[in-house]
Amino acid sequence: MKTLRKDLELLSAYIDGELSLKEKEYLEKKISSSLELQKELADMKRLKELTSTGFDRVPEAPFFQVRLNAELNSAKPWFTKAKKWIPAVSITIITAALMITLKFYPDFIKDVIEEQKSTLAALYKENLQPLLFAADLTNEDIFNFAFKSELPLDKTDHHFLRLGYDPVGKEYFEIKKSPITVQENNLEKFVHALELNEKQREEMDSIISSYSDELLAQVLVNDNNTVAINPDLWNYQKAIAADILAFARSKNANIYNNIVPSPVKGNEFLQLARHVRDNKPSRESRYIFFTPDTIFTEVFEFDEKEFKKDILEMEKDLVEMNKNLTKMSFQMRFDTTFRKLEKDSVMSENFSIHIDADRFRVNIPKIVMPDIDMQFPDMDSLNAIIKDALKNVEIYVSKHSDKPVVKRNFKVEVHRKDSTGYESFNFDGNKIDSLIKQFFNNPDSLRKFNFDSFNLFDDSLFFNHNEELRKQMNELKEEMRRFREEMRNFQHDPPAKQDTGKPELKGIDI
Amino acid sequence: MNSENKEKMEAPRILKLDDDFSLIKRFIDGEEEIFDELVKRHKEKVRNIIYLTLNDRDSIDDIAQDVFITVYRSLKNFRFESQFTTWLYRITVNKCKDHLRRKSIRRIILPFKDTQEDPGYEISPESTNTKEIVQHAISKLPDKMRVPLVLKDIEGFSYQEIAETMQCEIGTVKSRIFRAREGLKKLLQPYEKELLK
Repeated sequence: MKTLRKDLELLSAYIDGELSLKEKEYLEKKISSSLELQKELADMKRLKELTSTGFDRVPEAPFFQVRLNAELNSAKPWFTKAKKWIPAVSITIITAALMITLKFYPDFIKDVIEEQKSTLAALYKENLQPLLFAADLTNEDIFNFAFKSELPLDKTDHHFLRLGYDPVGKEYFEIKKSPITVQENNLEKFVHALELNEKQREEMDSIISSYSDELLAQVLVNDNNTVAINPDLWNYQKAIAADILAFARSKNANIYNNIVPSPVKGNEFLQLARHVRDNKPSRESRYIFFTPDTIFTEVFEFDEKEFKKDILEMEKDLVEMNKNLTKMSFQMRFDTTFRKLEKDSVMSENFSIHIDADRFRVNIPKIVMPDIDMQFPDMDSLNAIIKDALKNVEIYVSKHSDKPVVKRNFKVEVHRKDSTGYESFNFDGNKIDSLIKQFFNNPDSLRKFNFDSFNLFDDSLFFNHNEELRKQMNELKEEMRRFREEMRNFQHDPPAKQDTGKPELKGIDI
Repeated sequence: MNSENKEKMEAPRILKLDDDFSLIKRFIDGEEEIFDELVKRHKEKVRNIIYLTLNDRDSIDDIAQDVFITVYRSLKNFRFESQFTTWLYRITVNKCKDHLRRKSIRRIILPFKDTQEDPGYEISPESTNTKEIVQHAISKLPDKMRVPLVLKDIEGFSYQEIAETMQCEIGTVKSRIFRAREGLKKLLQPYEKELLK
């Protein structure tokens, strides 16, 4: 009965396809021979069919998901629900704030842009210095500027600022390494041609030099790669020229008419001169700023007085510094690390070094010597000098440690006889075994050297043998001493005489 | 069901599992709206399991909602150690058990309400519809036997899957299904004629 129940359970798993191969084989064999099991199998299959088809699928619930989402939303904490509205709410708030601001403050955006612009402009206007200051303008340079439109910026490198007019008549300026060489001594020639006396000459110089400082402020530069140019530069050029010509005309009209070309000597030019005199270019003017980012115009006032004050102070400091300068030293640092040496191609590529217990060898590459026609000195004559030099040198070879087993730390000291110092070298004893062996196998070869303080046997390698020998000798000595003492005692305290019938022993004196 | 057909049925399920994992990863990464897709995929199966387990159409959607709310709250802790469906069906079966437990407690507290329900193996003799008879007979089986039987015969779960869902041994599943069939056979014996039609 129990077997049948077990088989029926197997039958249930069999129709579900859940039996192992072994169980399946067993059951199928049993089914084939049992009518009862065959009937049970048929019933179970029918039952499975009934349960499999006994239920219809549940009809879909159309609003299931909607309901679920509502449930989930209500279950969420408020901040989780609010999270998805954050972007929309933020945009709405910003828009509303912007609208309110613009309603009551319509120039808001314009002002913000202006503020940004002025911040940027302030950056570029920072620390502007006159480009022409370093040029150290002479009257000749200013005269040439008036009539040739060129101002020297760097006389050494021939950098010039050139003003010009393009074919359309538009003004331009350029800074370039000028291929044009301005004729020298033009002012001198002009003065000479006008036949001006000394006083008149001074007046002319005074007129020209009065423009020197004013020209300084016309072209400014700073560390932010800004070049600021005052458009008044063009007017200054005209003003200087007009001033010079007007002065020349007033001093010597006849010569003036002869030497000045007709286009500039007429009434037109006189009008210009008057105009310039009456309307000198204003000092506070609008500069054109050329920056790496943009080009803009801004009102800018160059504080010439402040600049001059700074320069004076700087010059004063420089003089003071020169006075106090007594010693100048250079400090150089060398990198002597091994890494540096490794990088040295000569060291790493051309030399090879081999070290082992028996040798230390450096292979030097073949060096191609240039053909030098040179007289070498007689080398034999140097021997005497070398010998003399060696008299002042002593070489000590000594043990470095008192430890019983020392095969390391071989030390060589080279002392100078005049006690000014000594050199010391440490070697690894293991590495120089072969060297020592060779050294001590041929002691005779050493004796030919004049090593006064050299103690051949004061070396750790020999020291070991001596120690052993000394120990054995001491033991032997101790044995002998004890033996002698016993013998002495034997002589001094002879044992009581007993008649043993044996012959008496006599002491042996050693 | 022969093995060839079985393979054909299981193949798409494997693909779906991979998809489930990727959806869950996206959900964990903060893409919460992806949960709708998971619900869409599995809600019908969950609803069917509830129906087969409880044989009570009125409770299906409430319990299914409860199942998915639990999944939503716990999904961020999903460890990818088992298939998502195994985990989902286990939650479903546990929710059904909870429902039945609550129902039985209610029955103890309010004994007069469900007096008609008889836990014995008799079925109303008036019934002639085969499906009704079978459904009624299955509903009379104890939960422990009924659930594995319906999961096997109707939902087509393997013994392994049933064991994982119900958190018991495969041997227990095998034994319970057999005992369920024994009980069912006994219950359906009076209706042999109707069932043979």
